[in-house]
Amino acid sequence: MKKLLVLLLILISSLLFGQDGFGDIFDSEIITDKSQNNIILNGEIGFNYKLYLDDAWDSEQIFMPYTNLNLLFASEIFEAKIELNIEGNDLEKELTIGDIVQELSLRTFFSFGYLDLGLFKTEWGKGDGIHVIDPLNPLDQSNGISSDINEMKRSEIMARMNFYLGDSGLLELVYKPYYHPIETDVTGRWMVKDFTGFPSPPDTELPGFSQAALRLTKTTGIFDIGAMYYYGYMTEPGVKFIFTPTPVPSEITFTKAQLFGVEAVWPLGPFPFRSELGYWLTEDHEGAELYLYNDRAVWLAGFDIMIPGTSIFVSIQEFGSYVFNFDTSNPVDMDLAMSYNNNAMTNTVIAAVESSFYHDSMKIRLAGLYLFEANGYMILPTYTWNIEDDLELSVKGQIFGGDDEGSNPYYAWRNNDSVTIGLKYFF
Amino acid sequence: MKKILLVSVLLLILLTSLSAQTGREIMQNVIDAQKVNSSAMDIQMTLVDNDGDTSTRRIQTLILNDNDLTKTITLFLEPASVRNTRFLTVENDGRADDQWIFLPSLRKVKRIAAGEKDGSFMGSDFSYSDMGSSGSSVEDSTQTVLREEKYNGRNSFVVESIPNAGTDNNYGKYITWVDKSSWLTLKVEFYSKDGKTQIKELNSENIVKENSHWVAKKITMETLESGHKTILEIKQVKYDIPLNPGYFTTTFLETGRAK
Repeated sequence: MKKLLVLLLILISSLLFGQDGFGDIFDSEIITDKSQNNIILNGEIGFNYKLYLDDAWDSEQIFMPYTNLNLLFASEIFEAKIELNIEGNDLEKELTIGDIVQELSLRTFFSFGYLDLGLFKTEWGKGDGIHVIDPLNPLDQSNGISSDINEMKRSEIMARMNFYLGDSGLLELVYKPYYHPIETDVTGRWMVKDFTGFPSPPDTELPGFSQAALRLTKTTGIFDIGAMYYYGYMTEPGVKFIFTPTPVPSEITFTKAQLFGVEAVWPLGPFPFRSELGYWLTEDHEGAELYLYNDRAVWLAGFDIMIPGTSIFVSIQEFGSYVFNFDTSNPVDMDLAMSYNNNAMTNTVIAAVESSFYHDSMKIRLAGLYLFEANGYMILPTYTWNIEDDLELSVKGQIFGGDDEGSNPYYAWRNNDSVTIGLKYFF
Repeated sequence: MKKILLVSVLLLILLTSLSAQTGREIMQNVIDAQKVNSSAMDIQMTLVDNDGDTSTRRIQTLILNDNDLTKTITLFLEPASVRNTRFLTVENDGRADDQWIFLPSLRKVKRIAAGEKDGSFMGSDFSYSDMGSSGSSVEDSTQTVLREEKYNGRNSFVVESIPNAGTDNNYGKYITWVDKSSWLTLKVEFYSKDGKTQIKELNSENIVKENSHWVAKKITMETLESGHKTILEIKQVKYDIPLNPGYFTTTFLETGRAK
């Protein structure tokens, strides 16, 4: 992986670069904006002070200075982007390139499309920030939860060829050489289950774990529609047990699977209606193996709207899954172990209300999530104040809770309620 | 002497015919004067609060008229927190506009709800409907010529427009000062929905001719209750230029490149 990243850095440094804005239309002598430079550097610098409101972890306080740097190079046929995220706490531990480099990518334009190559994130599906047919970048929950799901995604090395289909269509073909499962905390305060005594997961940065996917999107009349296919692995790892006669975890496993998905968004009255539907066809189609996941249907539906006569924005989405051949007889069956209250079906509602004041300089947002099968909930209030155009103060809260049910993360995180004060400067 | 008399009579006829123009004809002239096949504008907006503190927004916008339906692409350049955000609006015949936004941090195009007409545009004193000309029609309101007067040294008609019942409008009444020579609006008073209280005021300055079209290069909108105002300066404008239709596509939103 390091070799690939170094190769990309060398390629990027060899490019000639262009500009943004409609520079081909306006006279350049009139446009003096600094973003017209051939190399564009922007980002943010700031700090977060997080105070946990419980005593279970000694009312832990974290002061986290950070900087996020985006370097964009653009020419007629190339675009290259580097995004670095350096956090104060990173300096206290052994760093890997992946800890700092959030994106390192090249985009090459052709008459028929463009090629993306490197380490980056994608977002597939028509949901508003959350998706059920978006398998390419696994989530990293080891440091907790963010209201921005994209922020929690792990950047992955991939090649993506995008073919234009008319003015509003795109065919994406993706190849990922490596696989990484969803990442969770195994010892700290964000741990959901105690994995003491479990074996280490195998190396998945091997050719045998490569994945491929394609996606077709198009705007037709009032509909933005799409279809996708993924061949790879489910993002959740499984566990193989040996019975002595008590079950002892012997191996971390990954379930080979294909995902078939469709997506659509269209204006329904005053709001866009968003929908996604998918089917995971796994190697354990019959549901015979305990350590593999069974077939699963997934769905999402929701809408967002600006309340007439106000500046209040509301978004509501429901998403869920249903496991086929669900067997409640064996507690070490992966589908049962990862279920909520022994239900084959899972349903979650996520909603957000947002309003801005004083010429958009202040914003209040209240987001919440409710997991029906385990009464799990998460409440995320946020207040932001743009003191200046490029200087933002924020106060964010996180509140968790739910039933004491084995796999309910919101119950497991009930002692992680927190308040975070942040200040950041955009440049 | 005969010549003077003839010129005087002709002038009188001309003036009589001008004053005979109805409010509807005047406001139709205002709309017609703004009609272009395409335009490109580089705009700076300065927000000024009642303490005199300022903040700046910078956008570039391209507009293409396609069979009397407008397509608009807007690129946000400042402030840094919204830089390179791209916004596409496609006007439709008989249904709400289609709108998509590209957020550079997500690198994703997202269809969004058609913006509320009275919502603030980028935190300014302009609402989305104040900024847009699409859908504006003299049929939606009843116009009356109140008087003719000089305003800022320019001969103008003063026209009152009252939106017709059943039409969707943010205001209850407008009073517009229309320049007789350019058909540009020199001043607009915006009134509350009951038509009794003036809530905003727009003033145009720096009226010049660009590419044979008149344009006010500085427009100030003030919200009277708060004293907050927004100064919109057109740094550069081009009319009726060839624009690649590829700019007005979701592909351009995604890539920043017109095919």
